Amino acid sequence: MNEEGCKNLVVVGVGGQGIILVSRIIGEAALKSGLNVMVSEIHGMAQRGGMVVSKIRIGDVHSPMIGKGEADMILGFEPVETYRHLDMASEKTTIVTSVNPIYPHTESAGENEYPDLEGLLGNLEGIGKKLVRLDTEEMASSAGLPVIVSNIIMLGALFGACKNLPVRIDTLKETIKENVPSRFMDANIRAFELGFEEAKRVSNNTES
Amino acid sequence: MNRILSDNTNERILALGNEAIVRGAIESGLDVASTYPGTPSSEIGDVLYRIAEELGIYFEYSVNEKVALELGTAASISGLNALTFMKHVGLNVASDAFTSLAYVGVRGGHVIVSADDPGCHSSQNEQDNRWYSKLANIPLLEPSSPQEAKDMVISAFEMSSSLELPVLLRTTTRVSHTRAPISLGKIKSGKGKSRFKRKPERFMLVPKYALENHKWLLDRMKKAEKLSEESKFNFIYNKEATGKIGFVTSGVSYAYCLDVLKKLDMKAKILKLGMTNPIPKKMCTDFARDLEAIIVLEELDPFLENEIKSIALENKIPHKVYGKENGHFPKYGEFNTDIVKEGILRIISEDFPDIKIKQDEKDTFNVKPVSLPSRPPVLCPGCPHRATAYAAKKVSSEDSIFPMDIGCYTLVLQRPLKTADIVLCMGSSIGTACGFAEATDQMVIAFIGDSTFFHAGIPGLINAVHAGHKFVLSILDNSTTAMTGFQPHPGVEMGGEGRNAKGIDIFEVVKGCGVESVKVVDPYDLKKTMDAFKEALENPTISVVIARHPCALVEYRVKRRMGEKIVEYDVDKDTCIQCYTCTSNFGCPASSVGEDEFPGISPHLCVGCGVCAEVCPSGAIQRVDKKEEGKAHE
Repeated sequence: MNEEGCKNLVVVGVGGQGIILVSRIIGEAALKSGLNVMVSEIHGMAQRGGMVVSKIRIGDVHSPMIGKGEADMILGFEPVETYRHLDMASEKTTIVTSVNPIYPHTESAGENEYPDLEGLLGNLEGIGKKLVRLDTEEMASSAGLPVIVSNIIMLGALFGACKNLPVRIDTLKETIKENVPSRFMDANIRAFELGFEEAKRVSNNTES
Repeated sequence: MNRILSDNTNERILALGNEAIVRGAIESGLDVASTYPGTPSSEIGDVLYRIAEELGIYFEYSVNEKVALELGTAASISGLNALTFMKHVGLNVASDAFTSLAYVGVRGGHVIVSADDPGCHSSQNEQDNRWYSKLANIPLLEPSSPQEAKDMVISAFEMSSSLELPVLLRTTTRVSHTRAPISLGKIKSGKGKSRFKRKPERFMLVPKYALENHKWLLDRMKKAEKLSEESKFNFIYNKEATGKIGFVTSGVSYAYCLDVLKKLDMKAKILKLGMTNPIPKKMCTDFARDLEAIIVLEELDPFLENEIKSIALENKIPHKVYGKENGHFPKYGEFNTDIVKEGILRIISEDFPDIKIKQDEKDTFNVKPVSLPSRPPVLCPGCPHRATAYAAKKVSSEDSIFPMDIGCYTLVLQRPLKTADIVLCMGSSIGTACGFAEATDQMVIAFIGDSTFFHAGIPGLINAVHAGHKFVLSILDNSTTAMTGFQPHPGVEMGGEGRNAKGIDIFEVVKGCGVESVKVVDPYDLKKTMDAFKEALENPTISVVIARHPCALVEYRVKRRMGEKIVEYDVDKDTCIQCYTCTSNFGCPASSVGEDEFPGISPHLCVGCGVCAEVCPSGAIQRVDKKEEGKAHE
């Protein structure tokens, strides 16, 4: 993999969104592809609605940390969390973000207001090389899928938005199947394809 | 099949550092494992819990780290291989045993894992447990990656049996919680049972023998120094590099060093130390000889830095040593590549301007500053601790003191409850309550979780009863060690491998400690809970209120698995007086104020505990089925 290849990936969101699972799938798929990979998870309090950050590095790397401006991709499961981690972006970064907010509890207790969503998403324009915004809740419900597969929609979107990922789609799908309960396998594969196609469509439109 | 048990030695699997530690142990022929759960060490136990029975390993969640370590000691002096693991502060609890352990040594093998937490991701402090290895004269290994963690566990068992000493493996959050590929060796079965052979002059630490054993121990550590000089974990990377500056590093800082030097296109020798006590003095001296300066990269304390300085002094090597003492790198918090890079750049620009390095041109964006809401962890929807704290707050005076303990319940610190005043360590709620009862005339209501009560609360309670300290102790009994991932504790009828165990009744324990006023309440019954606290506060001696209800996360999962209907609650806007007691005073994450200015309940988050309905002064929060019944009558 060369310097330009996608290798530093940051996945951010809120506890309970399935970020650790998505990170593990990417990690295992990379290993299956014969690549070195490191996945760093901070999840001590994740079950209690806290922020979750997972860093994935693929290729000739030694440490699990990603510095400022060094993320090749940011996969944000929640708009505020995407925004919070933009210091890791550079002009080469592909940003894939969900537009569905999860309001922190501090907000409902009357402090710490959630910013204007449209304004926040508007600020993302022009940051990074490519921006893909997804309404995963809407995508899941119009495809008749449970909201719980939103994380796999996001994973699909990541692969739809990034052309030079060193992991083949088949390998990835195989790894998804190994990591989800058998009764949700089809739903997850459909979710992956849904995200993949949507991100590909949006990417092509931006590029043309 | 569990991947950690794979016998395909050609395969590499993606494993957490903690899983790699387990794999290393089972490739070494592990017999006995013990722990008290604590992040970032918990997954070691979570994995062993699932595989121990199959491999014939005895595994237990001990009542606390001290007992876990003593249990491992007995196994190892009986000739077995023992693994004892804990979070860094757990070693404080075990330290009484730990600091005498090496005087008796081992007959089998004993590896003790301390999972340190630089950056306090989930801890009350970020102490550097490498000092413990010096304090107790116990050899120390520091892995920098999951693969190394696995390899070091195997070497640690070998070293332990050859030196007849326990070995300390010190990991950090970034090693324990990083997933990376590890290669697999053959799983070795343990010995099963062994026989203890008497040798009082070795195992009985009475003064006469202890002094002799100390001499023996120091001699062993001399031998350990030889092992350190030859250890495969102590090596020079980039040997042929000829620069003026060399690096000395250990743990995950080594990985940061490699990544940063690559980024800066800087060629330098790196002395990577994996065995850091005893430090390989000769190796360090040889490494330092032709260098002008050494940069020491390590997280937290300047442990290696001061060793390197003392070795330089001893050998009259006049080079400069850069590290933490002169402020080039912080003594607090977790390292990352940015911190390491900035420190190196500063040293080069200040003192070595002729060294050529590649300057980073990657600019970050000027992101428009937006005030973003923080997202701290909160007590879960339906958490019984919230109800207990709410009840205690309602009936106590405004200046009451709430000594707190270690567990999920520390989260009541946040708005709106704010019923948390001090927490130090496991069990400290009771000891500090004893002190507040004497030092002030304020009401004192202390909170401690069930697992924490067993772990370190009982001596404090006995002290309170014996000395007659007057306060209220609330034991939050949710039948699990929730914070660290739902491990069992002595109060439940399940042991370390999921086997049956005797559950100890907290009520009987409290009674047995001599407390006369003890009440058990279900915090979901808010009124009864408030009454119990009121009565307890009026009682002239210490009173205990046991607030007993299963952890909401566990209860909800069980209900869903059993297909039980979850009761739904809703706010009746006709009855609601918009007082916001539910959102502003109680603060369950499932309730929030909607755009219409009425509070609402999220059906996705609500677990149907119904406590908000009890909190509501106007009766506007109702069970959905009840509400519908009501409507039908209209």
